[in-house]
Amino acid sequence: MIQKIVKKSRSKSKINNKDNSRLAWIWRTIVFILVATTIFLVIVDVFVYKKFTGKKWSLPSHVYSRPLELYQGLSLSRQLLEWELQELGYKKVDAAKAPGQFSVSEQSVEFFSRGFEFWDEREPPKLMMAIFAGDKISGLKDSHGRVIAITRLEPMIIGGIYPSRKEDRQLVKLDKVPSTLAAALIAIEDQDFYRHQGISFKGITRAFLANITEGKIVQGGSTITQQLVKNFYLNEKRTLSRKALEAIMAVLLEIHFTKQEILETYINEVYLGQSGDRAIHGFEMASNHYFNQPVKELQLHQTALLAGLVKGASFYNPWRHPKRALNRRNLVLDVMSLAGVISRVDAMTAKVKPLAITSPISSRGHLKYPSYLTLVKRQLRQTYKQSDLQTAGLRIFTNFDPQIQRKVEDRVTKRIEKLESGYGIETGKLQSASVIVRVGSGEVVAVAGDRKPGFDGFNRALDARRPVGSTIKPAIYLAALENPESYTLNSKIEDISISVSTENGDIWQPRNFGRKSHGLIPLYKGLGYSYNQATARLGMNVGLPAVIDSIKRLGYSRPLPRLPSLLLGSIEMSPIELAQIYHTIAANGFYSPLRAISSVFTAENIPLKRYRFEAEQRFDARVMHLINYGLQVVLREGTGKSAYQRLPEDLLLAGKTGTTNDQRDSWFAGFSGNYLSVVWMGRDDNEKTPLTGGSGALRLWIDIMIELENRSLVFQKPDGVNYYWVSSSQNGCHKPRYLPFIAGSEPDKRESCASKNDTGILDWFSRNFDW
Amino acid sequence: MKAGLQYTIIFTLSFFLVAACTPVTPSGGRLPSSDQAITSNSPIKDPASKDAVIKLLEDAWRYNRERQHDRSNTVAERAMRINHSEAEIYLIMASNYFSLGQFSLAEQVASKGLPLATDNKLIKKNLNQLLVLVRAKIIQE
Repeated sequence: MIQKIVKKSRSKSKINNKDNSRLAWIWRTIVFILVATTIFLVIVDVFVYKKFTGKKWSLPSHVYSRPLELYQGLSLSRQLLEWELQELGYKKVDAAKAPGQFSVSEQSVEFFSRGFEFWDEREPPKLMMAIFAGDKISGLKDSHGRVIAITRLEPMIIGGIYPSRKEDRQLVKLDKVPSTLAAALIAIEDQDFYRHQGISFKGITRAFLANITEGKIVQGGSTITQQLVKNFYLNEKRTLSRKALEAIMAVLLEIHFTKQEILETYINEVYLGQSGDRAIHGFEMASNHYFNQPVKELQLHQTALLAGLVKGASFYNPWRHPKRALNRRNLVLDVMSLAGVISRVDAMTAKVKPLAITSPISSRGHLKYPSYLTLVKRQLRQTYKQSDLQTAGLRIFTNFDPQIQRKVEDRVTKRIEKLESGYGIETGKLQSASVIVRVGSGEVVAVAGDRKPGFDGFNRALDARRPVGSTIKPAIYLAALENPESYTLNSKIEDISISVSTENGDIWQPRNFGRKSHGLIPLYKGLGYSYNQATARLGMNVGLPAVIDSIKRLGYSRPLPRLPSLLLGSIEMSPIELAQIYHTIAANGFYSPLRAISSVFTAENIPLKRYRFEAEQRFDARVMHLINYGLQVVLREGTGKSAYQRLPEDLLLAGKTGTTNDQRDSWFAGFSGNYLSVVWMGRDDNEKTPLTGGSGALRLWIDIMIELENRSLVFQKPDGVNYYWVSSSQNGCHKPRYLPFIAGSEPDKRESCASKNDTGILDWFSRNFDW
Repeated sequence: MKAGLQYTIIFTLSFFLVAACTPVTPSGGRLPSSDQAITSNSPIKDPASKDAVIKLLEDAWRYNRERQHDRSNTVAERAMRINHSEAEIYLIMASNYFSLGQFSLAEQVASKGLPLATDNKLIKKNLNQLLVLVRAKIIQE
């Protein structure tokens, strides 16, 4: 019996033990699940919180043009101001009443500027009127009729430096977004946004029923918070586990952050279109992309369109599917009206409006000026890391002038076509590159790296290094004239055959372009008429080291070979390198590094770096005066004299032609008082062309200079320079010429032709000046 | 250090004096006399952009007095874009660089302005005085 009881008790205990161990296992499992869930939630929570409070996005850097300065006396036609305003996204209205609007009358343009935070000061938004007299601004007034001395428009975005994912976005604060945009988004995407805690059971049920009815997924039940989680933290996969995670994260997000913070992030995150390989994210960028306007200026019908794009930016692409996009926009307006966020009248008024999107070409502003952008990127890389440029959202302000760039590109295309047809050059073979620089400051205002406007490929202006031919000659004459005791502009040099033994035993025998020698000629003529034999002889007399030194001081930074052929421009340079050299000449011997960038701001608009003006005197002002005289001779009577057939005679210009062997390269580098232009023409395959510097590049240079607002070059006689009448021949005072001489190198008084200047044979120089 | 401070004070005072003595145009700005301008189409002769340049130069001087030298230079560069042959621009910029202790740059910029000041004795004198001070500092360094 006892045994029985013991047995029974044992078996009971066994059962109890079994139960206990099962219970314990269940408990252990529950605890494990709880701990694991807690750990998982903590990890997810930390992830959600950290990403949201940290740097949310890799922001591309945006590049801006120069701001257009407006003042009385500025050469600017009414049409060009209109063009600038339209490029900036200003809307033409009957009467400008709000920032971003302008109106036009026959003699004036009234505009309400947007205001901008510049490096030096904030330009507030204001209503102004520019009054025109011909193609000049004759007056500038504010809304009270008070005269404004100077004002400026905001710069335009000309491009960007994008993260590797090519996401383009501009951040915007929620309070800068029109209230209709937030209302439209909430109405169409998540009407319970302000009531739910991240997930909306009502929304899920509604979507579930709709999907069951249709037999396929036609509606998502995702809240704005869930959509944000999906885009911001997760991927596009549509799995149950991902959906669950999305819901958890949405709730966590709602626990930590306010509705306003979530909505603001959503507004900056959401994908809204594509421009080439550039993905448009956020409403500010989308507003610029579709309307060329900041989002704060959008009207109801525009915000409704953007809100409608959230569902499918590609499906509702207003350029490709305008009808679809219009229907979607109108649906958004109807939903807004039904939700009571706008009146029926407002909805009806907005619904009859057209889509009013900008043209697809102007929406790709970042693709318009790739030649200049390459230069900007190159200069930026000297200071910033590529990763910073791609992700830090820098705001880069440049000296780029879109009006000049447009004119240059237009002229390049026309001239190239004309030359090809005129000279029988195979169509499409002739290429060109141009660089335009503001004289004095060294600011690069335009770059054309190809014959085609907006070509985004090999940039000849920066990378095509070609022999520069005779454009190098000023460096040789400079080297000579720096020794006034030995050389003056009137010093005679023989333009006859010359043979030079090179270091490798070859004989170098340069010839003149016309295969004709000119005997004993003065220096100014050797430069002005670009005589090769005279220049080579002069170069050999002053010595290659002195010439090399001169080229380097002018601003050329690469190593130079010590070859006699250097004297006639066998050295290869890109147009921008030659522009650097000629800028030193144009700036009277002061070297200033050519600058594309003016300043850089952080994404938060804090000034980061200013690319200030710098100058370094590399040549004596007196010597520069002499060389600039010689370069004016080029254009007055030498190889560039065709310039004055089309440019005003009282405009002082200086420059130099350049042609290389077999006319493979045609160059012209020249400047007025305020602009320097360097033009190259040739073929990519380095084949011969029928063009010289004068018949090719110079023609385009003239085309470009005609388009610019040029001033005469500043040609003031410095202390220590005196002018004398001298004979241009060896005998007597035949055809006297008025030449500058550095003090101490003046011609012998007995040889001076001062008394003969009443012969009536006055040269162009003395006609222009009264010294 | 003390000598440096002394120079700065003297220099700043001299600028106040110069600013007060510079001939004032009817609009209140300071520009060199234009009657001796040399080039036939000289921007100095051309009054078109004069008001804009005067306004910018006034602003640049104001920022200079307020010791906002970088801002002053930014405004001076705006004036330079309109008319780079205006010697006063270089005087302002050089004085800013001097105040910022960038003496080599101040010397170069003042030297660049000097040949442009042939018609304005006062600006020329100021540029020369500035050059003397700058060169003294460079030697000291």
